[in-house]
Amino acid sequence: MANGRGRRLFQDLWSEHRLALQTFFRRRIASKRDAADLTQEVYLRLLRAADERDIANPEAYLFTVARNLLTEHAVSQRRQAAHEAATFHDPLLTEARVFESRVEHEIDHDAEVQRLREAIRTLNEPQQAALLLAYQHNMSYTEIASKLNVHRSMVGKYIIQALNACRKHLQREEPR
Amino acid sequence: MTTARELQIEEAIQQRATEWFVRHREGELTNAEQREYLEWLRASPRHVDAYLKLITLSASLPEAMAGLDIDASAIAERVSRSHEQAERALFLPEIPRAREKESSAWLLRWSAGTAAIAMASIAVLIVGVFSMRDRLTPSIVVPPGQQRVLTLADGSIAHLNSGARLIVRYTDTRRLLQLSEGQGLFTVMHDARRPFIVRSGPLDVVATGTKFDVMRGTGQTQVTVVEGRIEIIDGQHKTAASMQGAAAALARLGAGEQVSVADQSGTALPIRADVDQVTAWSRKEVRFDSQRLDDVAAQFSQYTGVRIAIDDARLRDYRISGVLYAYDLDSFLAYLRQFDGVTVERRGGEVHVRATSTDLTDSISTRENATSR
Repeated sequence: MANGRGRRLFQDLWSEHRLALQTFFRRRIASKRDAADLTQEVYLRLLRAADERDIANPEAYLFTVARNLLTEHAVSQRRQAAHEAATFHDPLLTEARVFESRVEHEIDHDAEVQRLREAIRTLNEPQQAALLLAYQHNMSYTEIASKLNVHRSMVGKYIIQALNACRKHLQREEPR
Repeated sequence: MTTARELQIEEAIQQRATEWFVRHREGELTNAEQREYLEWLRASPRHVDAYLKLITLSASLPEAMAGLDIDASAIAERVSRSHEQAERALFLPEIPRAREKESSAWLLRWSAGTAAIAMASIAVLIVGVFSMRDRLTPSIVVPPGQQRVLTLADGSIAHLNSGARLIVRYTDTRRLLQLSEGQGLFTVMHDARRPFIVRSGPLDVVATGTKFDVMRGTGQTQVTVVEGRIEIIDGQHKTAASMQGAAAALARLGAGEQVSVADQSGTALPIRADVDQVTAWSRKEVRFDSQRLDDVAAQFSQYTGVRIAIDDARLRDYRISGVLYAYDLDSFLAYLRQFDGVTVERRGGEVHVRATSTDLTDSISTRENATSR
């Protein structure tokens, strides 16, 4: 079925790009400026895509562009670090800086996960069930629909509501 | 003020991103959707940013869930049992119970309520304007190429496909709908005291609160259950006692099951059905996100064959958001009527929408196309 194919495609994409994108975004937290630049670049590349008819799956394309950018970004960072190391001749300083920023990412990430937990607790039961079955039990929307005994289109609606609620919860506590 | 509006725009973008994110996970996009999605991404770097943020959020979800002591299966079980109420809470405005004489009054009350929702620029509106003044109504015939969504006196919904013929007879002891031709999708308000019965030929499909599709064919009836459970009984040979009795049922169906019963044979085995496919005819949803009223009206004209003329240039450019059933012209008109300073006049095959007050200018100027920068 078309549906099954779409899901497989997404799962492949996900397992392939997930770590890369996560790193991509943790980096965003450390350097908001870089992150904004990268997002801008993703956007520009989307604009430049020669012909949209060539893009068979736009979401996959977005993932690919983001991942490529991440790789390029990492390469340029390394080059810069190498350059700095060469200039300052102080490997300890570089080490310390890398360590510091990593700790910072982890604290941020842990705090975000903690806030997400709170957010999930505040969801109503249908939203909670749909979200948990999708992201904890990796069930497809069709499977969730039959488990919850609702129409398939409802599952999407529950998940939209759940994601919106989680997002708002994070925004509320995030200093702007 | 600018900040508040800015936040509002940001929120609209984030919501749109969430919808796209989930849409991608519901199954393959059509070519048109893919183009639309790409256009949306290309419209602004903020859209890209919103989408990427959502990906990060969802990537953290499994980790967050791992540390939760919530039993998904137990909740799923509870939801499965109470899904009817849950769905209604999402979909339907509050409908006061069954006082038929007051049907136009509740519509007004309800409209006042939705005005607030509409100002938040999201309206979920699924309602048929059908006033049931008499217990005994003439039969409703749906012309070819059209559909009807009727909200019955008790809040149950009969969504009728093109060519359907239905008679509604409500009494204090039962809710009887006679489907003599065509197909209908019935969403039943729970009322254990008054069974909801769809009569198709010699068969009675009996439910108390559920959602199911009945198709009356030549000499046979096909019943598909979307949610909940139903019973099919031989309506011609039943007695009052056997109607309640379990032994009288020809078939008992649960969600996802289907049965075809010939008028003559009267027996059938339930099979698993592709519910999505069976009810595909009913899901002609029109979703508009900050679209010009003129364009939305044009879509409704196309589906219903009724010309909708908007006589005011400001109104034509007015942007609205929401989800409506494509064939349900009445719900669209009811939606328009709830705005102050707007009159809707229906004359035969034509609808005129006019602005009667200058107040409108204010409400238009304070709203804004959320996707533009």
